[in-house]
Amino acid sequence: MATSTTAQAHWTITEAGGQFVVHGIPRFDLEGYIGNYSGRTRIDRLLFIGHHSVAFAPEALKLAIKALKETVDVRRYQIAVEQLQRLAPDDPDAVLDEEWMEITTRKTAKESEKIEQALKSYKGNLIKESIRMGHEDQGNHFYACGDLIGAHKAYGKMRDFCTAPKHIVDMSLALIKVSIEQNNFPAVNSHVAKIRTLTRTAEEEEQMKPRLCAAMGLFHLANGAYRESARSFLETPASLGATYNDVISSNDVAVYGALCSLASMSRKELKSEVLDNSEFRNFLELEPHMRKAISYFYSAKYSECLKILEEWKNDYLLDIHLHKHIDALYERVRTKAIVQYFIPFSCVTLKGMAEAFNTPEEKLAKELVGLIENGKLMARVDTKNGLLVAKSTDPRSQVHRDALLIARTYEKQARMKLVRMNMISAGLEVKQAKTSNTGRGSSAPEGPESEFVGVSHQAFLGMKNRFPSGNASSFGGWGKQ
Amino acid sequence: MEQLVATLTHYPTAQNLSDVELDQQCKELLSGCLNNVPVHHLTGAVGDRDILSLLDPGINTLAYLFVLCAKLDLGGVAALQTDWRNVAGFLTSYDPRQIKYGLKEFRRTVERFVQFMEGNHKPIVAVKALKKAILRSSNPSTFSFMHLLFARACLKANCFRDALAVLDIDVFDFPLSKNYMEGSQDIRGSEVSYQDVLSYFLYGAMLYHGVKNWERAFDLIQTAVIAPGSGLSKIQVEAYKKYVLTGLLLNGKVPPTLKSLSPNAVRIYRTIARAYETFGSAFMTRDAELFSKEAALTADTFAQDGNSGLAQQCMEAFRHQQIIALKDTYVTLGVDEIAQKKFDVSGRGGDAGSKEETERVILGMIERGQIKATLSHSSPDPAASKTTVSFAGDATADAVDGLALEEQIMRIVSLSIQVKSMDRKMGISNEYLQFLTRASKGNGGFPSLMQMDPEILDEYGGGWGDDDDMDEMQDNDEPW
Repeated sequence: MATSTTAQAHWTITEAGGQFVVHGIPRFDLEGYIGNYSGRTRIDRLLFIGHHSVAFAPEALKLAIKALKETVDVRRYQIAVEQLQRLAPDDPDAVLDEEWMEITTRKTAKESEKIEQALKSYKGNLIKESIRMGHEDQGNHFYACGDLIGAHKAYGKMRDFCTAPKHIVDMSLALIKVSIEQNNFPAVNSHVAKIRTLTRTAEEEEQMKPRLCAAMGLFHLANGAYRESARSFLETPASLGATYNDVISSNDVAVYGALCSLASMSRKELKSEVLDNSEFRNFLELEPHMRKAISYFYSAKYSECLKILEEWKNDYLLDIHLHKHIDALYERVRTKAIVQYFIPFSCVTLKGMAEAFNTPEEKLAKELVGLIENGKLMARVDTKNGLLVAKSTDPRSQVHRDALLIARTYEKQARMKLVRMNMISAGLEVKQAKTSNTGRGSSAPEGPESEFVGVSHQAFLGMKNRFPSGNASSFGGWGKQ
Repeated sequence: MEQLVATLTHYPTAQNLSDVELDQQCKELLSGCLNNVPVHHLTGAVGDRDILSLLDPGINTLAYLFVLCAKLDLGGVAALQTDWRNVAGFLTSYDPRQIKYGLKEFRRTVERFVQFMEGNHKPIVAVKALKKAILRSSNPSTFSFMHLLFARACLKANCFRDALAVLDIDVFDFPLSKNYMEGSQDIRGSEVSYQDVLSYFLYGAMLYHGVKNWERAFDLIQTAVIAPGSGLSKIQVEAYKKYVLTGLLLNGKVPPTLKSLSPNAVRIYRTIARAYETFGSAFMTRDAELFSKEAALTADTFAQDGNSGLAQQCMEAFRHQQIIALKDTYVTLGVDEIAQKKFDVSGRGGDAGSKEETERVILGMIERGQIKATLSHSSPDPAASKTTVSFAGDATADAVDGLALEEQIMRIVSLSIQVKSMDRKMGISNEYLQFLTRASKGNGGFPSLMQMDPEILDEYGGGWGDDDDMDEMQDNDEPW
């Protein structure tokens, strides 16, 4: 009992601090889910769940601690244990294993030194290949210790000592992995581009494509370019399988691809590019509910589609890459559903629509108003009769109006120009006062006619700006004559 | 004395003389009589009758003018006490063809007259007289010193509607500036300074503000803001402040930066009118709370600049524009729901944001044709009644009739004629020819930029209004 109150208190504080917390129970099975991953990302994901999911946090953290004990990453071990202490102080795992930490730290320090030494001697020997491998060893070591910045730097240094295209490809792959973990997505893009220029044979391409497509998909997703992201994921060959487990699983490709397509593609495109895509079908089979959601959307059963998405929302909120975009993606899907729903109607009752979308009428009305104001929905709300009415458009009068507007604008511009030119030719230019300290050159071009009037500037020496503020005194004092 | 009067009444000999004959006779009159006769002779009297009463201002315009001017020169303010009626009468009936022979006298007379009237708190008299005088003049679209006097008098007299007759005529031509006249012997009395022109545009805009014609006000004030020159006048800065507010009233947004302005001018405008721009951007957020907060902050600045009235109008406009925007979203909407949206930012408190007040505002807007909508009450009992606004469909409501298009085409055709003549004038101007010479001499100084001989200028002139020129024109100016 004491445990759960501490945990609750902790979650409240976390939420108050502006971080999101998932209270609901996700549908996935933690062991099964995490079994899809290997390497660093596996632990990262566990930690992420440990920090955000009320239901799964202790379990995830325990798994993470167990896994971390097998690595040399002391820092993350500490983070995991500290988080577990906050949630379940009585848990046997929630105690720092100081001894292990010390031994590991010493071991890694020794290892670092050894690699450094080796690298130095390689450098002395001036054998490129050895130096390259030395840097690679160093990068791998830093990566294992959890020093991503150091790893990125070490891998980057390999560049000068690469002698074969394959080396560059390997290096770039390593850099892509590190960059994704650092959330440094612009770098991902450039490294992918580098590999693409280096792959020559079809075989090579075949081999690289799955990983590159997945990485590009993540890059676009991180930028919020959902359509491009969807395309990248849709292009990913099914041969990806478990080969990229240390970054992304096939299930992820299915979910990311499907969500991004739902958010960015029309119904027709969903059919032709997602449902009928034989490659992507392999992925979708891993996540059958996604396939169902897309078919529902395609067959205009929007509420069913949205319902499925809502059911799985907790899962996606706990995804390390997806959680930031879930709200935006869901909103887009919903908006698109509403717009698509309304297309065949010229007038629809709010009541009927509320039923179709399974939302209270009032909330829906508010949402519709928002969409109309953003220009996403061409309709108007009839609050008195509870109707949504399509806007009637009359292209002919629209063209007339536009023409009239353009003509008026042209007329005004031309008049303004004429007045300006006439003022210039009459010598009525505003001359800068000599005492003014606004300081600027005398020959800044004013417009096309500045060439024509350069001469008349001569005539204005000695004029000062004065401002007749509406009283007669500024009019040359002729009354005294 | 009688002889003098006889000479004066003799010219011109007939009313419908040709220009050449009139020119000859006026010169004769000037050299033979007006310029030589001592001033006090002109102010004398024949018997018990004033010379003025013997002359007809519509026919003996020149003589009448000289006599009038002489009287004012000698008598000063005292003379105006008795003679202002004569000046007013003269202004409404003079012959514009004869005026150019006595422009200097004409200007002196008019300026004194206007000052006298303004001094005696009767600017309305000056307004009426000047209006007729400007409309009588040979070309009202040419700027004259009277334009400025008129605009100022109108402002003083609050005669907004009277002003429109003159203001509606676009000013195109300008007499040569004072600067050109300095040092030259022939000071003809028609010269104006750039301050006069700028002030006229500013006052004109203010007059249009008075009748809530924001569009015309915006155009006039814009002309002042983008006036050519290397410096910035204070008048322009004042104009810019009003320009920002007028833009809000007209389009609901801060007018975009004009490309015709030099970067320096833009910077100065921005710095000086910062309060106005923040006010404007708050307006554009459509957030009533933010806007009223900003309005409160800037109120002092506006009061100092004398723009509180305009700012008040902006606040009204804010509410109106919000209500107009509703028609894109709703077909029907309850008045109480509109009232709840709190569009009122005027800060007057009281019932300004209430249901009844909102209904009144909407009713006013419908009556003025700002929105096409109907109000309906749900029951005859006002206490239980719930008022609903039904907005008319957008497309059918604003169908454009072909007539407006036709008119617009005609206006543009006439404009293009003006542009052509302007172009020809530019083509043969000294500056342009010098530029051509320089360009051909430098041979690389101005590569291929309008390399043409004066001989083919006519063809060039004929081509004005073709696509290329239009593009150039639009490139060079900001669309608004």
